[in-house]
Amino acid sequence: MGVLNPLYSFLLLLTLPIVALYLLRPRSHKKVVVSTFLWKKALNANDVERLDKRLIKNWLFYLQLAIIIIGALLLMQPFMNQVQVTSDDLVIIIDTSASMSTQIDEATRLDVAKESAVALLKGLSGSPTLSVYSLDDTLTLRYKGHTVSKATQGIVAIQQTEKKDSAQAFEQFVKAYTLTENEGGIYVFTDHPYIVDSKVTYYLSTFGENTIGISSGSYRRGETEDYLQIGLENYSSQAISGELMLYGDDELIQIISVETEEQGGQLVKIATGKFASAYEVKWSGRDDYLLDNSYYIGIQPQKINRVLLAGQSNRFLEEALMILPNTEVYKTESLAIDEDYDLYVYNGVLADELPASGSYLIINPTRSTSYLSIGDVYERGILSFEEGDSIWHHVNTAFNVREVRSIESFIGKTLMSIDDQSVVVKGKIGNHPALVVGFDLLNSDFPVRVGFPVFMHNAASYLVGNLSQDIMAGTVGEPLMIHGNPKALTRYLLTTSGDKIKLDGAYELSVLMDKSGHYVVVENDEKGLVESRLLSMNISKAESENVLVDENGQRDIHRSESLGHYSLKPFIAAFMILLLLIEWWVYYRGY
Amino acid sequence: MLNAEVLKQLARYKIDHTEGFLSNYEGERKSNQKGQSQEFSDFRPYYLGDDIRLIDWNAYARTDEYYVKVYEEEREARITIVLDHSASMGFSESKRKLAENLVFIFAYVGLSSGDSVRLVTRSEKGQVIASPFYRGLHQYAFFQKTLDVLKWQGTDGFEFLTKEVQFTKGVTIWISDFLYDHMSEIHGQLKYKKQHVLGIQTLTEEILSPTYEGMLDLYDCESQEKIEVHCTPSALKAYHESLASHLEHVEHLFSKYGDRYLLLNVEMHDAAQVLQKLLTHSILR
Repeated sequence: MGVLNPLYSFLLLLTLPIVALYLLRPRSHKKVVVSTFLWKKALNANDVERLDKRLIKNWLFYLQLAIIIIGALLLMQPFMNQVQVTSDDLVIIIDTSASMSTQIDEATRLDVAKESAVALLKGLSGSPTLSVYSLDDTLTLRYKGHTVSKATQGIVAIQQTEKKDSAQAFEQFVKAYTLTENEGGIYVFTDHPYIVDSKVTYYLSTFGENTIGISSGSYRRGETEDYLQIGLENYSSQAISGELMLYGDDELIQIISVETEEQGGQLVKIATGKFASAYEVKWSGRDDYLLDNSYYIGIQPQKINRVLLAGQSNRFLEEALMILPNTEVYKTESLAIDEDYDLYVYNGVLADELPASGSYLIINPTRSTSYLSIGDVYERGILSFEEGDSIWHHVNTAFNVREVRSIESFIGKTLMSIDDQSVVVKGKIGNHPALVVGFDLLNSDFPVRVGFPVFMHNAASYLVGNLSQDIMAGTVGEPLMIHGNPKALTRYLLTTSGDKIKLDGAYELSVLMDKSGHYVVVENDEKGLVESRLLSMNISKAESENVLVDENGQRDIHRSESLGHYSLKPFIAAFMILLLLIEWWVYYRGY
Repeated sequence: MLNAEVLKQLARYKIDHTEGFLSNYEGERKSNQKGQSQEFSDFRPYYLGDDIRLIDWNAYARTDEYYVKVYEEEREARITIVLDHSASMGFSESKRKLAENLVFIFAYVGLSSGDSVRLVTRSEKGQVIASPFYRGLHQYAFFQKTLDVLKWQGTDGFEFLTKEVQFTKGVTIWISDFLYDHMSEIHGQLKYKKQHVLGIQTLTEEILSPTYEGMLDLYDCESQEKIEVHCTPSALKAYHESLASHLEHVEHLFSKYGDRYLLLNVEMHDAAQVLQKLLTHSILR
C-alpha cells in the first residue's frame, strides 16, 4: 500500500491534542452518598476494576484517535497496488575486497561474512529468487535461481581479492533494485558502511572495530575552489587533518579547511583551495590494506542544471526531478527568488513576475496572470493528446485526471486538450521556454505512473536542453541496447524467473525483458565469466492501466474503474463513518 | 422528641398483629390463656383440685352444682426495637429524625399499652447492645436519653443479632434502610427466635430518585468505597431497575413469613405524618 499525498500525514499530529485533552480533562465530581449498594448492583460494579471495563470507559478516546488517524489516512490518498508480485527476491552481496581479509579471531572477515550468509540461507522459508553477488571493484553475479544448496555453493566458492570495493557499483545496484517491483531485500556483508538513499530494505553487516578506509567521495565545484566530501571510518576529527593527504592532479595540495560531522566524524568535507581535473585522497595512517585507503575522484566538467522547485510539496515531482542527470534540485517556499536557476518549477503557485533567466515549468496554475490566462475547470470530458510531440515520447498517456483547467494557448503548442481547450501547453513566455500543465498532479494518478519520470525528463530536456547521461546509464524511455563484450564467446540473459535466454550480438533487450524485475547479462569465454551486467526493468503493464481506451483511442478522464491500483478512500471513509456511529452509540449507551 | 399532642394520640393505640406473639409474662393484653385477672370469661364445673375460693356460691345456690368462675389471663407483648444507626441512617437530618420518631412512637405505644419494650442498637465498637425490657410509661424517658447520646456512625452490624442478644417470643420492629445483602440472614435468625418482625425501611429521595448528571465518583458514606458512575440515561435506567428489584426482594422477604413491611420516604419525617402512615397501614390500631 502506498500514499499519493504524504503531506497530510501532519494531520496525525492532531492526535496529540486529543491525548492532551483526555489527560487534562476535568476529573469526575466527588460525591458522598448514602450507599453505593444499588449503584454497584446496577452497574455490575464488581467488574469495574477489570481491564476490559477500563478500556470500555475509554472507548470514546480510542474512537476519536482512530477517527483522526483514519481521516489523515484518507487525505493521504492511500492506494493498494494490485500488480502481482511473482516471487520474493533475496539478494546477497558479499564484499571480497582487500580489507575483508582482516583477521577476526581465527577467521577472516570474509569467512565470517560467508558463514553469516550461509546461515541466512538456512533460515530461509519459501522459495524466493536467490541472487548471490561478490563485490570488489565490480559487482559479480555468482548464482541466481531458487535452489538454496546451489546458492550456498556459490557463497562458499567466493574468494578473497586484493581489489578495492566500489561504493559506486553498490549504490547503482541498490538504486536499480529500487526500480524493480520485487519484494524481498538485499543483504550486504561488508566492512564498509554503505549509505544509500533508497527505499529498498538492505541489511548491512560490518566487521571489526579497527577498520580503516575511505569508503566514498564526491565533489562540488564552487566558484573559487572545489569542495570534496569524503566518507571515512572510525577516525576522530582531530586525527584527520594530520593524516589525510589530498592530491590534486597528482600534486600534493594543502588542505586548507576540514569540516567533520558531529559524532564520529565519518563524513569529512574538504575545501581544496584550487580547481583540479582529478583528486585523490589518501590515508597516511597505519593500515595493512592501503588499497582501501585512497579514493580517486575524477572531475567531469559538465553543465549542472540548477532546478528550483517552488510551491506545494509533491514527493513524486521531487523524486522525478532528483533523478534527472546532472541536475541539482532546490526547493523554496517563497516566490521571491534572488538567485538564478536554469529551470523554475512552479507547482500550484504562480509568481506575478517570472524570473528574468531560465525556463519555466508551471504545474496547476490556479489563477491568471499577465503572462498566463486560465480558463474553465473541467471535471468530465475526453482528453486528447498530441502524441507525436517529444514531451510524450515514450510516455504512456493512459493516466487518469479528475479535474483539469484549460490554459489559453497563446504561449505555443497544445500538447493535451479537452473539448478543444488546451490543458498542457508548451511554448515560450517572453523568450523563455515554458511548459504549462493545467491540472494538479496530486489530483491524478500520473505521478505514480512509470511514464511520469519519463515525462519529466522529456519536459526538462525541452526546457533546459538535452540532458547529458552517464556513460553506463541508458536514456530514459529509449530502447535498451547492449553490445556484447568482444572477448566473450557466449552470452545469455538471465531473466527474473531464472531462465537463460541465449544472446547473439547486439540486442534491444527491452524486447526480451518483458517483466519487471532485474536481469543479468552474462558473458563467458572458454575460461569462464568475462562480464556480467545487471539491468533493471520497470514496465508499465496493460493490466495495470486504470483508464479504458475506446476503439478511437480516446479515453474518459472521469472513469474511475481501477484495474491496476484502486483507491482505498471509499473503504476508509465508510470505516470512518462506522466509527462515528459506534462513537455515538457508545456515548448513548453511556459506557 | 414527640410533642404532647402526638403523645396524647399515641396513648390510644396498640401495635397490631402481636396476639400470636405474647410472652408468658403477665401484662395488659388479653390472651387466649385463662388466668386470674379481673376480666370474667366463663363458668365451668368444679373439679377436684380447683381452688375452692373460685367456687361461685350464688350459682351453687341456684343450681345445687359447684361451678367455678374462669377469668381471662392478660399477658404482655415483648417488643424489641432494632435500630440501625449506621452512618447511612444518620446521613441526613430528616433520615435521622424519621428513625428517632419511629423509635419514640413504637416505644411510647408499647409502654402505654402495657407491653414491655427494649431497644437494640450497637456500641461504638460495633458490638450489639440491648437495653432491658421496660414497662410503664415512666420508662419512656430512657428511649429519649438513649437516642440523645447515640452516634450515627459505622456500618450496620446486626449479622449476629440473635447470638449476641437473648430473644424470647415477641415482636421485633426493625428500622433500617436495608441497603445491604445480609438482611435475609438476620430476618431468618429472628424468625427462628419466634419473632413477629415488622420491617420499616427508610429511604431518602436521593436513593429513590437520584438526579445525578455527568461523571461522578460516588463514595459510600459507610465504607468510603468509591464507584465511578457515568450518569447517562441508560445508567439511571439500570439503577431504577436495580432499586425496584431490591425493594421487591425486601418486601417479599417479610411477606413470605406473614411479617409486616413498610417503606417510608424520609421526606415525611414529621411525627404526626409518621403516625398517620402507621395507622393507614394498620401497623397501629
